[in-house]
Amino acid sequence: MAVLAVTGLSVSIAGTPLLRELEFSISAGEILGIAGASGSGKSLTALAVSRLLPAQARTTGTVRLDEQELLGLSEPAMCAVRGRGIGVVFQEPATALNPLLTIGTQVEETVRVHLGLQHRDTRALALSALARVGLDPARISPERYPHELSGGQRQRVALALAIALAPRLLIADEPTTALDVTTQAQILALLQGLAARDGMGVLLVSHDLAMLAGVADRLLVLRGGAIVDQGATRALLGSPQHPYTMELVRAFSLRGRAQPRAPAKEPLLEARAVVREYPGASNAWFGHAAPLRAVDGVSLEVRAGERIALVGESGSGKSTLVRTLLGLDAAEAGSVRLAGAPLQAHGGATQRSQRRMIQAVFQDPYGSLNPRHPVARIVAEPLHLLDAPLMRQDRDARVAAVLQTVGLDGSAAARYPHEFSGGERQRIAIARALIISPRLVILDEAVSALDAALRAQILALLGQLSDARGLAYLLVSHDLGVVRAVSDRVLVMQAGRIVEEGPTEQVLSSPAHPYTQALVAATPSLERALAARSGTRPQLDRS
Amino acid sequence: MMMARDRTPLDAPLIGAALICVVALLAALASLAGLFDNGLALNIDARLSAPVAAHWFGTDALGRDVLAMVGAGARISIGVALGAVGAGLAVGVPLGLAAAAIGGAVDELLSRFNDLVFAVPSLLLALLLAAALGPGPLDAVVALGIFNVPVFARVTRAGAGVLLTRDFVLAARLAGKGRLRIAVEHVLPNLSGTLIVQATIQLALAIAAEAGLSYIGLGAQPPAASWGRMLSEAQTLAAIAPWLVYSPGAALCLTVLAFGVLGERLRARFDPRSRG
Repeated sequence: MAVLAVTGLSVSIAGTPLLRELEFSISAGEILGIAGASGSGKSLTALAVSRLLPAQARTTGTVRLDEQELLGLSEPAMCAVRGRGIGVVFQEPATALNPLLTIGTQVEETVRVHLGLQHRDTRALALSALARVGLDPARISPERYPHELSGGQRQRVALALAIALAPRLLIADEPTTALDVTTQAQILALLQGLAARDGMGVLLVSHDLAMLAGVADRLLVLRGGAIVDQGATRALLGSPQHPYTMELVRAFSLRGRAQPRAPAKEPLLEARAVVREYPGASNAWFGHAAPLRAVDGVSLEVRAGERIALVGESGSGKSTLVRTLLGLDAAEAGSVRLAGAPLQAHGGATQRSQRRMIQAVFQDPYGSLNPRHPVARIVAEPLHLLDAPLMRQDRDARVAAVLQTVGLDGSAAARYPHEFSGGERQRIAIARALIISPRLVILDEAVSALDAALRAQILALLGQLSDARGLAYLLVSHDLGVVRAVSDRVLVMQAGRIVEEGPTEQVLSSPAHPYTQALVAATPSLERALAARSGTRPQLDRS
Repeated sequence: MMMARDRTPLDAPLIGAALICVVALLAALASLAGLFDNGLALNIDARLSAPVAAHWFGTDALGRDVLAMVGAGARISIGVALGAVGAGLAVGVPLGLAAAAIGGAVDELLSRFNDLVFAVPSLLLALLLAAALGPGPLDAVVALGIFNVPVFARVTRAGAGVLLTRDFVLAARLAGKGRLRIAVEHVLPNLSGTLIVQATIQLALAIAAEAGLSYIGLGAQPPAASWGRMLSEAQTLAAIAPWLVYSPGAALCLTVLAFGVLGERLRARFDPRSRG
């Protein structure tokens, strides 16, 4: 019997239709995945089912949870449904929890709000919920506060809140996007276990097709607020019929790139035993705790024209290392040399000529462009590094040329960042990095925030530029698919050290270090997921 | 949310702006030579006249027209408030930017300076200044200005601290730009909304504070008219000539309210979190 049955669900805000006539159902114990590009209405569907849309949204159709119609319910009645009937988990575990309450208290409060039980019962229910999500109260004290937990553990607490009352339906909106691949694998196994053991229906929203391929029983493909394709995961992705699904699958499986090329002999960027430390937390009156070593004796080399990837999970020191390589922060020990000369972290006249050689593109295209500046001014900023300022028309000509290189129209120059989509903004950021013709560009998770189609586009662009200009790049990424597609050599970083390095194909196909092995195994891959799915469910992993 | 607001027939920022216009107009009229000079002249025959056709809001103990005095008072009130807030912006914003951009000891020093200024009661400072400069509107501008400095320094410091962690600041550093240059080119433009809003709120506070200073004799001196002084003079006569309290009191309340409402609405406008 269907836990959730949705028919003719349409949502519009201010007269703009956002969801059109959605029809789907979820049975007990089934995981239904919703896939689609950003803006296709995935999250909106999750919000519409849990009736969490903003007040001005107009919703029509029917949403039945166990034969109970939800759309007509009053807000207080709906509050009772949420929690008891529907549990919801969102992307960011950090903001879903109250930092001032212990995790045990938070789960208990949810239970008490819904059941109004006596104290001892609510506590017992809360502890069992924590145990069910793998936070065994004997090992992880319920007296801990959210900040004392890792991101993955916090997401487990958020899950415990959602499933404490054993709801019929769990809605999970990008529940693992903020997590590392190894943590993601654990949370997904947990979700599958909950569905299988408790017979809970799960609505899983994600932009990550490979992840969905691994866990979802059935898939909906959304585009422009309408369902364009749906069916059993294996059939849908294994032999896609609908053109849009094919497009998505193609964008997702980044196929091998141009031939590896022989890099130049002399190193362009050279780091020797670089150490970066952060001061430890100040310890009341008695000075500071031992400093935290974020980068611990890293040596690396980037040759002219070389394409290198740096992988590692968050907190492994990748971003700190990048800042040092860019000369934004000075290293406590070790040296960074650019084209043979030491890189100076602060000021100095010699810095200018060096700076022209190295530029960067950052992760978040919304934070890396000043919203108050027009695109021409943003893109032209590195021209500040020239020894003599350019005439206005020369500058405009260079801006126009570089915008064209990244595939943007010349009219973009006069517009402001908010007028562009995420992918276009990232192109603007790339244009800025290229305008002074650097020899090395560092891409710090520069494609992570983009969805698959855009990511493929931007990576193709980078490949072309690298081939055409002999540009070297250092790509920082947690996405092994991207790494495989665009790099010649890969460096694997863990806890501030480089634990493995070598030609990309070799490292990823036969990883030597245990950490690299775990990383490769945990990374969802569309092909492997489909091959592995022959009807059996993976065992529940309680680690 | 924006839709709902647009449909509201009485738009709060409009009311605020309209009230400010009325007060400003009054002040401008007051300064137009001749129009109110008659009203401000002493006229013992017409002393303590209740509101009549010749004197819409009555006259005071010296026979001066209350409407003319309120108009003239608006000039001082708004002038002092603008001067004080302007001084606060001119000194506080650069201080806050410098503290955020340079950090370290400069930042620490500024924070302690702020704490120090907040610790001195404004009344005490105004008294000291009055002793040094002689009481007058300038004394009020300086005293209130000093209290606006840490307000703007803090707002700027906090906003700049957040903005400086954004990636576009890193990109500017990669373009070889120095900290101070980044503060001016990248940080300041992004703070303008916050600062405009804070300035509106501070204007409302400064107008009320100026009235307080005048009331205890530390602001504008006779024969200059100011709302605080009018209220102070009306105190003893309130029982027999209540109109002396109504006009300056209403002018003061409406102006403070107008700036307050405008500030709140501007805040909502500039704060991305409150956008629908």
